[in-house]
Amino acid sequence: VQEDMKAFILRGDAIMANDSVVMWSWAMMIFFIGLMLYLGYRGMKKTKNADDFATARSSYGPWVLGLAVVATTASGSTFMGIPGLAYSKGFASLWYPILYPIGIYGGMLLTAKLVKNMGDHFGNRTIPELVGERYQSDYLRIGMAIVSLLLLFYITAQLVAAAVMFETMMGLGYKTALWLTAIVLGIYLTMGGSHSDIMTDAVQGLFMLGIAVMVVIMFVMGVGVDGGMSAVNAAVEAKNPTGGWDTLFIAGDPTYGGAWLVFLLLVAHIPFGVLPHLGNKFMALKDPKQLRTFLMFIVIAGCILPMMGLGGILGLAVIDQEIKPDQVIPALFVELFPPYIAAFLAVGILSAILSTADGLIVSFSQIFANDLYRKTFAKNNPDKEKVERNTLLIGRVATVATIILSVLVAYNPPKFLAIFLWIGVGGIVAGLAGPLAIGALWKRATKPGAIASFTFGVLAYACIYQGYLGITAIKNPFAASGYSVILAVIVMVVVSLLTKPMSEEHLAKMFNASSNTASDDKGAVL
Amino acid sequence: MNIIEWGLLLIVSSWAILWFVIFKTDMFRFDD
Repeated sequence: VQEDMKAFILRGDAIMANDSVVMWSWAMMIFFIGLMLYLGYRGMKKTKNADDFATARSSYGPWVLGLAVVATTASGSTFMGIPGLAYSKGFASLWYPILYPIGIYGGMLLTAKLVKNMGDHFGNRTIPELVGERYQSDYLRIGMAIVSLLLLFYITAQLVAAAVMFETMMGLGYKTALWLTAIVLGIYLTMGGSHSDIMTDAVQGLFMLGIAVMVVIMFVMGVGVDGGMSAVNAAVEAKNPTGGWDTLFIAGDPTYGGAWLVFLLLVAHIPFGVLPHLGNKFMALKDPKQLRTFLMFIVIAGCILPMMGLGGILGLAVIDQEIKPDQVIPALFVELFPPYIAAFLAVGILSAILSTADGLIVSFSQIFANDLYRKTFAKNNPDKEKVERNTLLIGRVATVATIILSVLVAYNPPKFLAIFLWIGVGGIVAGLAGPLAIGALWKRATKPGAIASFTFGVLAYACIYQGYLGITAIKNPFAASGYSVILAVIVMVVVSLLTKPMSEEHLAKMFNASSNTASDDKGAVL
Repeated sequence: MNIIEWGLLLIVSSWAILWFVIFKTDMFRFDD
């Protein structure tokens, strides 16, 4: 049985190669999907208005929300791409899973308090809205909302990965698998928006942590190799001379070529937590006093998930045949374990993908419902109740529309999906680094500084990555993003220092946690 | 030092620094 499965994986086909695995996969998938739909229903019960749908404001404690945040951060890339890189390049590629969580979760410390405060006091629902309010700028809100539209490609990439997992586990056709993913996401998100997103993500996060811990233990014990970790290293070096753990940097490699490149990788990830689907999670924390527990938990759990990369190293040591790098974790599990554990693993990988996709979809729907409709077109509409009803309706319709649009893009993905995906992520990160990551702590930050930094950051990233304006293109997205972030931060600081500070009164409202600003006076500041 | 040792050092020391920032500074303190 195991030999059959291995043969299938090694051909690059489905894991689903025999009745036993199909049976296990269906059983686990039915249970998993049932659980997600049940949590979607629970989310619907909690969703009374547009604010609930957009933010699940002040509803969850530090552990549930912490699991949701780490699950959302770690996408299919952490569970498939990073082990794949480790399998292809060896130990030096581990800089990525070592440094990215330090950057992301360390960076979240910069913004978490301001986002929670402003959400509590002004009822902000999205990151673009919040940044607009921080600087009293419609340009920043609308500009960020529009740049955030590029997240569609991030969603599409997750849907493609999820469909491939369903396909491999259950033997469905690609398009059927795509629609099955879309329908499951569509049902639970339309019902409960952010509530469903957070509850499903927490459960998915538990699955993911379980698998990651298992992989770390397997690596440390050197499962499948005689002689523990050192034997793993020896086996890796035998197959790939630059793959051993004594090779810290791979000469000439665009990402792992030296300490400076690896440092840029860290820098590029520091503002990552301000992406709309992650930043808005802080608003869902029940009590600001739980912020300490919450932050410490995401720092620790968030560093554990990417250790999945060690599975790629172990795969390189254990698996003798040539395989597709992204398939290394399933191949490893099939090599070492009975079929039902491989099926459980696929549930874990699917969790990683869905937990990122659902957060992105809810945030994407709020670009239309909140940033463009509620805060822009309906800003002066006196009938607030009607506006709220419409906002909720637009949120739900936009959720379905986003999913359908992503599926259609996934039918025929653009040839350079990864490029679009990274222009989206890199552009938003570079645009938000100054206004949000710096402006969250630095009270001297000004509106012209934020506008200049946002505009410059987005354009700088596009130019550096694509090589416009005679710049030599840097096709390593981390380095391109890292440079843009550094430049955007410099612009933020310089322009802010050259322009007039914002009023004391405004800053007191933004930063003072015990401010008594009426939370129902939401439009007053703009 | 090999990369596993570097990784452990970086991760554990970042945990220690962040623990200090989170719990021992006023940055995340909320009073009633």
